Amino acid sequence: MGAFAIHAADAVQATRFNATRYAKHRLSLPIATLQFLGSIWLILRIIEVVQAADAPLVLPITPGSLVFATFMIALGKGAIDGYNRMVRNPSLVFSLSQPVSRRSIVAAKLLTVFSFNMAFVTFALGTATAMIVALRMQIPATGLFVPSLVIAAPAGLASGFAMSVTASLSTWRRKITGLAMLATLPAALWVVIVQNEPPMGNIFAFLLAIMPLTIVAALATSEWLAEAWNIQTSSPAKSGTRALRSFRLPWMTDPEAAVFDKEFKTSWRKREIAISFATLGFLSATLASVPFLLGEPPSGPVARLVVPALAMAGAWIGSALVLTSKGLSSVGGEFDSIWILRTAPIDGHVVAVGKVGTSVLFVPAVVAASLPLAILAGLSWSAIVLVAFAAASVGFLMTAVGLYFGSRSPSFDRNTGGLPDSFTMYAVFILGLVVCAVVIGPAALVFLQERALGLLAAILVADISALVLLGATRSAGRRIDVLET
Amino acid sequence: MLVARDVFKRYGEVVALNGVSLELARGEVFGLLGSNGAGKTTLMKIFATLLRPDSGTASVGGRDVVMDPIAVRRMIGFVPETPALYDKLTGREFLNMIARLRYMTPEKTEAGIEEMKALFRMGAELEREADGLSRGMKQKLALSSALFHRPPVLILDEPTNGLDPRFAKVLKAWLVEYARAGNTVLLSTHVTQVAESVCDRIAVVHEGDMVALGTVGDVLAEFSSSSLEDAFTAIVGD
Repeated sequence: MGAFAIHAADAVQATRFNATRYAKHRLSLPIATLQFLGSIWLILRIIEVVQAADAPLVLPITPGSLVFATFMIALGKGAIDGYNRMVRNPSLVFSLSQPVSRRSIVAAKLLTVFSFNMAFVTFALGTATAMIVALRMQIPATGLFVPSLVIAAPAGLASGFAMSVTASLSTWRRKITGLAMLATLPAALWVVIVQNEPPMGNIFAFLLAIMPLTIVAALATSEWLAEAWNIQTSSPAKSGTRALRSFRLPWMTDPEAAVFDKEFKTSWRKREIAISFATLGFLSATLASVPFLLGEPPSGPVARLVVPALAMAGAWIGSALVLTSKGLSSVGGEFDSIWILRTAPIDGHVVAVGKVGTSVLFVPAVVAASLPLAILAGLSWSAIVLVAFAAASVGFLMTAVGLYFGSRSPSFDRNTGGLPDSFTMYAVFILGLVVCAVVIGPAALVFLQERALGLLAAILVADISALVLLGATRSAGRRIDVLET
Repeated sequence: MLVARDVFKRYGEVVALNGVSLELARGEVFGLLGSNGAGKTTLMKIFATLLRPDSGTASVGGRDVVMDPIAVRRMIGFVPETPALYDKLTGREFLNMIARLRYMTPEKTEAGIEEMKALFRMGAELEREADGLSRGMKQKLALSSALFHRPPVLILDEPTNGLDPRFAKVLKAWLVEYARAGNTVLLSTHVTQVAESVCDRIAVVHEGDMVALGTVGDVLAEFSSSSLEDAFTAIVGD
């Protein structure tokens, strides 16, 4: 009963937060829904066209690798949700101090993470099924592929959820031991369903076997919940904090630099900067491994676009995870401390500039993350330069999109770390993808016709993208000015 | 110095302020009393430019809070009822940030911080991240952020919350002295003794209406009470 009471409170709170946000911006829900439907249709249509063309796949994409990717995405989401909703949530004290077992609390939070994320997965798959039937699309879905996806998602969520606890333990030895124990699950999954390329039935059976194990592992972390929560919600009793040098970007005024300095120090001490660099590093290494997977460089008019397209996809994923997410939580992430900036004698634009400064620092990192693939795949120097400018444009545009929506409809929910709900985040990421394609696409087309002109177009596009970011910053400033808290 | 004229504010169906009018003079300590949810915090947030009135006007030093919020913020120091600070900034970094947002010179900033250190007897705590500080220490930091730049108007929502009796006494004495130097202090409190010992005038807010206004003596006389606690109970009911 205790678990259901906690879960019910989570559900009511999340529903009211979202209802309030959507009520403030009545058009945001229909627009997000349209984007969502459009993106599902687009994905299905791409699969249909590729299938109809009967083109040989350049990349080793198998049903097993797609299921594994779903598992890993869910693992990341489960880790973030587990951390924000449970391990780093100060309000958990009201559950911990009740006569409820720790296991019930973990079960409640796991149920919350499951229900919110699986609602999204179910909605996406249901919409896709409805579209396939209604539009008579020719999508080759082998019998057990979709059920495997449906099982991979909660298995990944539970694994990530468990990792959020073990990664928060008191010493590095305990953290690493906990993470290493849990890492055996994705490792086993990789070996069994990706490396061995078994038939779909075996993949499904294996997932069915490990899914209960992931839930048991998540529930077992209740033994360490109190330790992890105490570590993450209180500072160690230390006599002082290591001072960080203040630095400012050259174009900033003193108040802008003050906001930037606060953002930078906070991100540094919360290890957000380290996590962002690690994310981009992992992405870069994954992309860099593609040429080795391919063996021979792809040839032919379509195949030679594969490497630049993959580099752009990497820039988009990296920007979405690091820049758009930061933009989305830029205002909401202030939580109850928003009074400090709102009662200082500065306008909202100063706040927005200070906040966007820390994001801009990561744009070169996004560019750097996309270059190893381009270099190792043997692209010409001009194509590498094109990729660099295009990646910079993606970075600017994705920051702009996140900042715009993060200031338009901020979520002050500590349970989500100031991020909006999954549906809104997905819609914003997809909108960012469309904006990037529309802005960068023409430069790429020009490049295919005339290289020098294409490079000039790419530079122009990067400038335009930076201007879009300036526009988004101005818009965010106006939104912050009229914010009532 | 602070003027509210027929200020009306509602949250959905709930009327928080029902046409409140108020005028505070320079050199005055003014106390807002009221039960929970009476509308005190809403009125203070309107003066601090955090909320806009649905109708009516409010101004600080002749500047309208809606039309000229930046000018208003230059004149005020504000502390909310539960002041959330930046968890990962040290006390000194936090105060330095506030100083930079207000274009204070490094000398003036350092002098202000030293004054607050002495007032609240803060030492090594100032070099620690806020999330490791006690409730009282966080309150001292929040108060310091409002006081150390010496604004002409202080708006303090429950300023003695979390302070032990010794520092509550220190703060009350400091506020009276600060007001006598020609500044204005608007504070809200649940503690009638604070109002009695500090405030030149008080107002009692009840369900969005201002139901009593005057010196402590005026209010006691109006409600035939021997203490402010009795008068307050007589006004808002048991």
